[in-house]
This record gives sequence, structure tokens and C-alpha cells, in this order.
Amino acid sequence: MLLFGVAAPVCAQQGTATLQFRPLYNAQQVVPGKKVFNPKTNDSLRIDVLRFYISDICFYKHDSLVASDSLHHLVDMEHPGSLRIACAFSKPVIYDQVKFNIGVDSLTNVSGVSGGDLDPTKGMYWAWQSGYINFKLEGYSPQCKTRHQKFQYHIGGYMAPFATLQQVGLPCSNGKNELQLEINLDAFLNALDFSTCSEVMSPGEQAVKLSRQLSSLFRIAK
Amino acid sequence: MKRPVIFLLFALLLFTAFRSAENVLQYPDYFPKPVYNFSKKPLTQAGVNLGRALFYDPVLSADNTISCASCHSPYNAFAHIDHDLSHGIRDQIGTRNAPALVNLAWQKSFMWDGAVNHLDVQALAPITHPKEMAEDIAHVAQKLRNTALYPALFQKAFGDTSITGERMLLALSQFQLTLVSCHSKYDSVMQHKATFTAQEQHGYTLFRKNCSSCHREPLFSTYEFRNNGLPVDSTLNDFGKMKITKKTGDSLLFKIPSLRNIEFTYPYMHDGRFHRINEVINHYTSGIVKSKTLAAELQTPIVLTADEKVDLVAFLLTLSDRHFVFTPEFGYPTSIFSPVNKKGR
Repeated sequence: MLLFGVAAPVCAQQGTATLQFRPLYNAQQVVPGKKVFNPKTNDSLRIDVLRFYISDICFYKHDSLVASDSLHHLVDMEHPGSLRIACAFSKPVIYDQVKFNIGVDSLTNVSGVSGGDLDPTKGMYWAWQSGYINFKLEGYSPQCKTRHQKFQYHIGGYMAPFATLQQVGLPCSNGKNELQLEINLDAFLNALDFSTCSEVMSPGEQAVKLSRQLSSLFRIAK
Repeated sequence: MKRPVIFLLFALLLFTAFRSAENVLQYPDYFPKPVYNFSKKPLTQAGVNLGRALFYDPVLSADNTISCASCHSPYNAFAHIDHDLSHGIRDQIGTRNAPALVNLAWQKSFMWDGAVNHLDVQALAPITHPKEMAEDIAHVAQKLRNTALYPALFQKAFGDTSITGERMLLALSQFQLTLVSCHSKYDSVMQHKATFTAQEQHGYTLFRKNCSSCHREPLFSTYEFRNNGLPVDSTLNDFGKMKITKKTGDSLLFKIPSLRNIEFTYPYMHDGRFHRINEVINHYTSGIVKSKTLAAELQTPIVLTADEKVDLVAFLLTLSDRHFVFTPEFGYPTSIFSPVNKKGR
């Protein structure tokens, strides 16, 4: 027993790699429900909901895979703890590139119900048509012609030709085990025309078009 | 010394095989292998019991008035008699006919348009539909946590009292998977325990000639999607599978329903437009509307004389399974609900 007790800390030597997400709008931290100035339309907008899945996180060194985390992580701006994903590995991880998916892979989408972050009570599962919402962004802009001038982007869909899963690949040469990842929502929102496109809530061409922008929103903080 | 050990091991193996067999889905040997993956999620009696309680409990709806069984009644072979379209809370009427729940373990997609890809996520659709149960799955979980009954039922089924969306849905699947209909006269004939009358036999021949390519035995459906030539109801403008796939080739395609228990599951079709089996047969002989997506199987008209129609119906009535309809194990779970009811639930 004693021997085991002594040996344990040696065995438990582990590596962690942490992703810390920071949602930004024009370089300002996004606060749910707080209005921010929109320079494109010269008025204000508000971001109320930002919720998305991060999955299949892979760490590479010289283009070869050194560690991976196959879980689906729900990142929800309303729960600051969820903005931090700590991947635990059995040994320290040294890497120069990280890749991850925004969304839920197609196999998970056809495998019935899942628990944890994928539990359908998390509000990220479409009930009327099977499939997860990969990325959810909701808020307000006076430019929207919808009820209460709200915008709602629920981007999902796993079946061709309307698959919306996106991969992000970022080089990170500094070798830190904690990565600060900015999500530049202004790049997404400023590319939209709120007056014609303020609600996308089903799989289809529009969702695919919007999903193609998602990867470029993620950047390593300088 | 070795032989007794091997014998013991063998006996143990046999014992465990027998033990696990009690929870295996029972179906006749002429049924195909189920689509549902039981090796990942084996049936357990506690899981089935929990699912049965949930199935019959109106707690699943926003105002606690309707349960799954409201539109999938055991007495109608788990369909909804007389309602052409689904009937939700506050007397709201939906857009499609509530289908009969039967032999679900063999189905690879669900709903008339195949919108749902797995049995385990199917119940989310009626629970959240504003014109059906109009609830939120997270709120249902919250309501269940505040009952005297459910934490204990979840404990029995899953090992602890935690109530999650995943567990709720898995349990609902467990009960619904047991809804196997295989005790009709047709089944008795297949098992050489009965014989068709001359009229039924003639109807069976007509059925095999005209209907069985889509309503394939022994499940009486291929569970594929077809345009069966119904004129579009302009009050609904329902184009079926096209809404899901957005492919024009899927316009007016609906899931082929099983004909098992057809006697009990009227009205018929995705919009419940036909109330009698005769109307359905007359549609196929003289009501087909030609369009680009009309099923290949229906390009050549089905021709039946009046007598042949009667014989065909006689055969279709051999698909009625009274055991399925009246067996207490599928019915309202008084034994699960009543101990708590006595204490005032």
C-alpha cells in the first residue's frame, strides 16, 4: 500500500493543453445583453447568446499528431467556465499547431441520443429534424426586420450537400500549454445584411454559407 | 482436473446466455434482424418500466394534459383513432396523422418525411412541437425531478437518480422497442399454427401481386419513401420528404406505413384523408394522380374487381393483432403509478 502511495504521483504526471475562448466584437469583450457600437451601420447591436460545440481537438508537432481529445465540448458565453477547455493527457504535450472542429460530427448526429454536453436539454438539438446545432448566435440590431428586431443564427446540418461542420487549424509556435483564442464576431456579423438575413434556423444553403465563415473567426491572441 | 473446470465454465456461459436472453427483444424467426443496435443499448426491465411510465404520463406536455398515449393509444394499436391530424394541447391540430407505433426496432428513420434519424431522438419532436406537447425537454427533466415517482425509477433503470434528457429518451425508446406486433392470424399462418380461409388466401395472392413490393412482408413495409399518387391537399400543401432534403425528386414522398393492425389504425395516409380500408384500395385502383415523382411501382394501374377488393380486405384483416392491442404489459402502467398515487402524487 505504501509503495503504491509513493509511486502514484510519478504515474500521475500528466500533460494538459488548455483552450481559452474570448468572444470579441471590434476587439471588445462581448458581454451578453450589453449593447455595442456597430460602425458598419452607425448604430448599436447586442449579442445575447453565443453557444457552440468544439470537438475533435488535435495537437500537432511538425505536422504529426501528438495528442487528441475526441470529446464534444459545449462552449456557452453565459457560462464563463465553459469558455475554457482543458484537455488532459497522460504525458506532457508539445505542439506547434492545433486543429479542432466547430460543431458535431456526422457519426454522432446519426447515433441517437447522447449525454453530457450533447444532452438534448442543452438547447442545441433540433427536435423537428434530427441533428445538432453546431453554432448558435442570437442578438439584436435595429437593422433587423424581424419581431423585436432580433437576429437568430442557428447553424447546423450534417447531411450533404448541407453539411456545416467546420475545421479550424491554427499554428501556435510559442509552445504554451494554454492557448488564448479570440472569436472575432464582428467579422461574422459585419459580413451579414441584417435586413435580409436575420434568421437562419434550419439546415440548407444559407446555413452552409454562414458556416463557411466560422473558421476564420478564430484567432490566437497576440 | 481440467474437465470439471471446463464443464463449470461452460455451465456458467450457458447460464449467462440464458440470463441475458430474458431481456432480449422477442420476435419470430421470419422477421429480419432489427435495425436498432441492442448490443450498445440492451433492453432492461427497469428501463422498459421507466419508458412505459413516461409514455403514459402527461407530465411530458406543457400543461400536463396529454401523454404520448393520447395520440398513440394502445387500443388503436398505438395510432390515434378518428383524428386525421395530430391533436395537441389546448385542442391544437397539427399537420400530420399520428402514425401507429409498431415494430419500431426495424425502422431506420421516423416521421412521415424521415425527419428523425434515430428512435432515441424521435420523442423530442412531439414533446417540443408547439401544436403537440409544446414542452421543453429541459423543463420536463425539471418536472420529473420534482416528483415522488421518477427519481426512484431512474435509479432502477440507470443506477442513480440523475434525470437527464438522454436518459429520458433512452427509456422512452426501451418501452417503444418492446411494441412488437407478431401475433396476428398472418403470423399464426406463417408459424403453421393456422390456415387462411379460401377468401383470405385469395386476398393474400392479390396482395403479393399488387402491394407487397412496398408493403413488404413480414413487417408490411420496406420503410422507404414513395409518392403514392395522392392529390395534394391545398389546405396543407405538404410535400413530404422534400422539406427535409430540399431535393425536388423527393417532392410528395412519404414513408410507406406498415399494414399491420390496419383494422385498428384508421384514418389512413399522412394526412388521415381516408377513413376506410376500401377508400385506400379505391385510391390505388382509380385515384392515382400522375406526377414526376410517382412511385415506379404505381406507374401501371392496379386492377381489382369488386370481389377481389373484398378478398384483399379479408387478407388485410388477418394482420390484426389482438394480443398487441390488449396485452397488459403495453397498457397503462397502473402498477407503476398506483403506489405513489395512494400517497397523493
